[in-house]
Amino acid sequence: MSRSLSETVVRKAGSAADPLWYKDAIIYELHVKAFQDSNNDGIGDFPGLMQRLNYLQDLGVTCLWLLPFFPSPFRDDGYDISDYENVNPAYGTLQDFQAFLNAAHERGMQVMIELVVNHTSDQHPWFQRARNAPPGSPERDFYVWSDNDQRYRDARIIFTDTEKSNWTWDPVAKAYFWHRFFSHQPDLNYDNPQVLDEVLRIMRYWLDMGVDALRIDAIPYLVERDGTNCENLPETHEVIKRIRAEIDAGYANRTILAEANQWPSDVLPYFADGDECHMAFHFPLMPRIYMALRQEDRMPVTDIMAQTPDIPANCQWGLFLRNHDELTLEMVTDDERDYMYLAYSADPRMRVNIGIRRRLAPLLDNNRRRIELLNSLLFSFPGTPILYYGDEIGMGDNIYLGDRNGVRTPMQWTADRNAGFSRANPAKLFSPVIMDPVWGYEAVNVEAQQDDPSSLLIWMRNMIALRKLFRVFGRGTLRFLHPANRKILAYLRQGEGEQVLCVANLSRFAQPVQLDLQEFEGMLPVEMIGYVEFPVITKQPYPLTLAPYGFLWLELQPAPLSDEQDGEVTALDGIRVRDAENWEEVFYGEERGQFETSLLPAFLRRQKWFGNKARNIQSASVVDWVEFESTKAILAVIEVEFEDGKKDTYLSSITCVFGREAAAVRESSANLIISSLWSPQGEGVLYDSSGEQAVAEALLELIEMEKEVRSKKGLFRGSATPGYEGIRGDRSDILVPQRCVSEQDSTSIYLADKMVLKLFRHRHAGPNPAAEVGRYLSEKTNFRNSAPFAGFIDHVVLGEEPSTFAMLQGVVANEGDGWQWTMEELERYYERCATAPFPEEQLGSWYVDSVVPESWMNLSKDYAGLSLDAAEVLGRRTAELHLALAQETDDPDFAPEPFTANDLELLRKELEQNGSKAFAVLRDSLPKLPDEFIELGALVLSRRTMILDRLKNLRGQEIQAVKARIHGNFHLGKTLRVKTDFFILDFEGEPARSMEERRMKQSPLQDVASMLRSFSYAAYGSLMKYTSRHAEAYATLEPWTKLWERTVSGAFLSAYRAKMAASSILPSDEVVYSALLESYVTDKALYELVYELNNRPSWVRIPLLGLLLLRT
Amino acid sequence: MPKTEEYEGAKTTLTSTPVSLLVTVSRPLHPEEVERWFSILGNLVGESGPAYAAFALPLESGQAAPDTSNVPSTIALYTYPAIGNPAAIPGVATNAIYRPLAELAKRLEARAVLILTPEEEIVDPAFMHLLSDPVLDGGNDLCLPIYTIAETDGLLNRAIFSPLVSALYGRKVHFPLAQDFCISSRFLDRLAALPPFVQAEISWPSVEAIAANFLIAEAHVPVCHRLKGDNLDLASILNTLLGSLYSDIEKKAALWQRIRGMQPLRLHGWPAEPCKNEEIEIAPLWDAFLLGSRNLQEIWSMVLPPVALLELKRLSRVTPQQLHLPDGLWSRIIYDFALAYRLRPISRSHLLGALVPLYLGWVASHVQTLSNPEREHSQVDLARTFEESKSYFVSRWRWPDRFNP
Repeated sequence: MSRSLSETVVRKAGSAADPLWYKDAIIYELHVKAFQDSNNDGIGDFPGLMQRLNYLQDLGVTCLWLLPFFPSPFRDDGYDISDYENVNPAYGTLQDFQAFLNAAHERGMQVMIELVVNHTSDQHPWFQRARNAPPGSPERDFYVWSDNDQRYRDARIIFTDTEKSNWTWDPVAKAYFWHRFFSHQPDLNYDNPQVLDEVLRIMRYWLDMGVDALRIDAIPYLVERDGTNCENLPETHEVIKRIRAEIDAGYANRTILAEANQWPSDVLPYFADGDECHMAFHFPLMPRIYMALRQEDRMPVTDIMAQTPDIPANCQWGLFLRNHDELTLEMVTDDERDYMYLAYSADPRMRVNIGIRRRLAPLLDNNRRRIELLNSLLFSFPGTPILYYGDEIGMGDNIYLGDRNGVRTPMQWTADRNAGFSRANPAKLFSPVIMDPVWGYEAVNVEAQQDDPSSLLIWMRNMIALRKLFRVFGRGTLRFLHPANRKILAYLRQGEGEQVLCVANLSRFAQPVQLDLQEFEGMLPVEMIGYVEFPVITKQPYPLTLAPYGFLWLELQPAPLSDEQDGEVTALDGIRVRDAENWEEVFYGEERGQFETSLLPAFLRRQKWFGNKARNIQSASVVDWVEFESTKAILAVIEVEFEDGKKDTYLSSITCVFGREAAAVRESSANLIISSLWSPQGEGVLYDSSGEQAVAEALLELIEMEKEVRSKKGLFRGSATPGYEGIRGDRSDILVPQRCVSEQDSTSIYLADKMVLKLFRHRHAGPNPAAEVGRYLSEKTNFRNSAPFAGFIDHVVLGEEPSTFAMLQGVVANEGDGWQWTMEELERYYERCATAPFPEEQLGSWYVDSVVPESWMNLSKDYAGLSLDAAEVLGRRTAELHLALAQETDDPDFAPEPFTANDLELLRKELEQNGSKAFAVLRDSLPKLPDEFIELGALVLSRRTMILDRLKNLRGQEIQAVKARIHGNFHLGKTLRVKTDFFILDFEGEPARSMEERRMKQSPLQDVASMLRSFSYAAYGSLMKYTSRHAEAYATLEPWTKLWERTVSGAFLSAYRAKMAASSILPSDEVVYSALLESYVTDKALYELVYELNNRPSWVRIPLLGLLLLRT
Repeated sequence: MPKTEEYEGAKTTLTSTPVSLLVTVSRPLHPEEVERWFSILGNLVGESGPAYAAFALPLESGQAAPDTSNVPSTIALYTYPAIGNPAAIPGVATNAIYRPLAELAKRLEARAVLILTPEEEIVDPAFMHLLSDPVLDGGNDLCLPIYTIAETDGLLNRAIFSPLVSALYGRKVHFPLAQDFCISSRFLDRLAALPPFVQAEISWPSVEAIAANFLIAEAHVPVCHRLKGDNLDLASILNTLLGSLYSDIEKKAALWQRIRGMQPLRLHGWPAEPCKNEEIEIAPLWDAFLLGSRNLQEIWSMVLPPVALLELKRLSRVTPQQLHLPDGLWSRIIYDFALAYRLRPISRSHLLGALVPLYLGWVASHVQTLSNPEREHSQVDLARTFEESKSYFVSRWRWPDRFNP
């Protein structure tokens, strides 16, 4: 029904223009009474606060959060309100408040006040009226009464230091009243509708004055129910929804912030569907930041963030390091709480309730670097930072004052009397100022720090200004990196067209770190404080060294284009088209020459997915394309002709935009630009749009609707699997691309972290094994430890086998890939072993098929129990994969076949050939090897004949085994750690091999051998990392490395063989089995040797040791 | 025959036919000038120009509307109350001019508005075509002129405005504060919607267009046009114009710090022979610089880092013949003053007053360079130097530590 003009409600706007202003805000929490006294009565007031607004504006804060300033008996620092519609006379008048509000708004600052409506003071007229009213009357029902103190017994007591029960006997009412906090703070009864009506009226009163935000105090406790813990109840959420609805109906650009000291998953309902609170504090993060700092380990932080759910787009976390209460330890485990007490409150007087009543600087022993580090986290984590007054100058506390008053002392403005806070007689002050030699106002005050360019205050001002330059901090996503060094916390903030890499050293010593930034290859990190350019990111791990408690904020910018590229991409004489609507004419029009010989080849060379960078391109042309109806993009087939006459085909989505959109592309994605375009309608750009939402949606629709679209020379055909619906979920959900990762040959687009769409850029005729095997496993087998397959898109050209262009899979929630997980485990393993003497028993040569002695296993269990368990699970999953791939089927591409003597002979020849080539490379490379590896390399070379003879063991064997499709490129990096299990991924095979080779049937032992080598790589790779920091430990730890590799390999093999035992897939003859497995392991080690010699000589030790330690 | 109706309290003539182009001038005209404008505008429309054009004439309070009997039938005449010019610099507009023009353009469905200074050399249909065609036919939102001024003219623009705007905002703009320009109706709407508190500020349409991703073009115009501020105090001009630009830089910090490189704008027309240089006497300029370096050291020390002060000190010892203020030093001075403008170590008017001797030193150096017969080979684009120094500015802006080289 339409609303008539007279019914139209005008929503009263707040002072901020942007409805989401709170996402970019810097909130400053202060107590009026403690900030500035203007009338010399010893108590801060609103006129005083107004005098200090310029200071706050200069600091850069954008929102002021005022602690309760209402009339109150002050038995809980103002949280016991006796009149909601007035200003405490000691702080000024309502007019003073209004004047302050206007002055703050004039400076572009918003104002947040407290809505303390879980309880009132027992002096509030409502309570006085209630206790005198007869039971059952509406007046009485404003509060929660009981004849006994046994109701709601499951509700915990919050102020354990002072309260023994949540019920207190009232002699006037002759009944018990309910209170979750102090006994002088009776809880309001929201089962009485009049209570909510009154609360809404009070709220409107302040919003009408122009207040921008309300912090709702003690929000989880509004409603009580028997049989529950009386927290977070559905009825409480109904109350909040009413409050929010009232705000949305009558006001614009206002915000409510929930104080819910709960686990993140329990706070989520306070956001609801974006229709309850706009913001909520993230309570559990704060103690974990302190814990991570003290333990010099990122785990407490990454762990709690992993438990932090996504929140609606219009909602925001409120982050803080300290506030007016104690550093609460409610949201930590008992052990963690004990640790925190020991670490941060040596003196028992520092503790109150379930927490620590100290300010930021004293908690950190007044260490400037620690203070800066924690503030850097506060400013760069996803959420809105909230500063507590005085912490910007490193104010101290007074643990000899009662309750939490020690952190609520007067603001220290100057070195003058009373810290410049008041000119009253010091005895009149509401609280003594801090006066000790370290923290006293003579040493720590605003005036001194304003004059000191190196002060904490100036540092804070600069950091706040810097944060405000980047909206990504308030609005972007967060993703942690997992470097091996756990003293380093590294995370990416992405969004708003910005990408920022934050790296923090939690240790008191300098720390090295190597970050896997492959997905940003080619980008330029620019240190944000000094605007310093760092080296361009490559495929190699990105090394950084951080000073003690150091941190880096690096903006990832597109790399500056070389002069050659610059000319190609930004030249004003780009391609000209006659009509912007028909820009495809660049593919066939008069000016296509420059496009094909210069612009498109230059673009391709810049792309990570273009795997032929070493070959010179003669020309590149778009030979087939189709336009997506719903987007401006086309799907293009690009044929590349190299100077050697060979051709390759690639696939890409290309879009052309003009005007502002073009400028935005230039700004954010210069590397994706193929060409400038000139048309009578203006200037545009042609660019690769494969990672864009519209393109992802169009491709998804192709799969979802199983559509075909005809291109100039063929068609693109989408297909969905029967499992699609389950993976996709509700079709009305928009799957926003979260990130786009380019690899060699492909680009993966993560859709709302629900599905991943993988585009195979390099076009090969025929199916891609990744899609082929993934689909087969999902549809034809019971193997469920791989990513669920949802669909695919083929490119079909007449007379050719369809080629897979894209595949769609479900995303598996995981704790990182198997390699990452194993490396972290190994780091801990070496830390444990570093001081433990290795037993006398020597570890001799290794027989890959041999049973590991029990004594070794027992020793290993003590130090690497988790790794052993994981290897067993992985062994079982590998066997299940092989059993699934080798099951009987009519599908000729998957039907298992006998592994014949002829196959064995062919394999032997191939491996011998590989081996000869590898030793030739080693021989040629020997003089160039780093000194420390020459001896090792020579030793391996001297055993050339023996090692190659090992391969001859395959000759003349009679074999009874099966060959089938296998993974083909199986190593720890191709697995995902999912809780205590493993998932197996990426079945495309070894990228260096041809597509035909990758689809060939093989003995599954090839995968097994590959995984055994991966264990070896992990063990020695981790040892290299560990000993790079502790060089003296190499000799001590090497036996431990061997122990780990052998026992983990043994556990893997043992579980694998047990699972495979009932099948006839593996050779039944032990001798043949051993010969085949050893041959594969040897072949793999030789392959690695060649790779490392050519690419990473510093890693060559690993395959060399692998070859030496094998049986000869 | 045009009809008349009220618009914004002034007499208005109105044609029922939508016009393509709305032309206006930046100050009220004298009666004798009006006739000439009618005649020129009559020549503007036709085969090579818009079919219909409208002329919006600002009137002073109490000023009589012009006689419309001589208005050509292809031109509709409008009058509107003139907006006061708080900048008090002829030809320099504030953002307040856009709102009435946007309303009128909307009403007339005009696709573009041409804003001109009513000077002798401007009243030329060819000039108007050069500025309006890139907007009407080329899809641009703003077309700025490139005047063929002499190398001794427009020195504030040459020394500061053009290189500073170009380097910070990544587009090579020759005259970012041009007094004559053509603007699309959609960009005009955007300017008209600027918040009330910036209405009285100096308008930098080039910067606004870049900030909002509107398309900008430049047109070579064979006009020796320059700022008519000869009788104004240089410190006042710097305070008004550079002050407004510095303020805007502060507001748009998140934008310009993200822009890298500098691209040329699309150019229309062909450069004409520049106007002839005038003789400028170096000695008084140099004396002003030397006086400043003696008297303003205290203020300069608050603004400039030691290495810049040292270079200036060396400079103060050379003879006028050896005079050369390096471009790199000059760009860093302008950036350091921008930073000081933001941090307010002293009042902003005093700060910009302290820039005057430095600017005069630059002028002296510039004039000296012009007299050098080998200057063709040594002259480098100043905007490019500003761009090279931009990282210096960004790093100082982000971490304004005085302890720097």
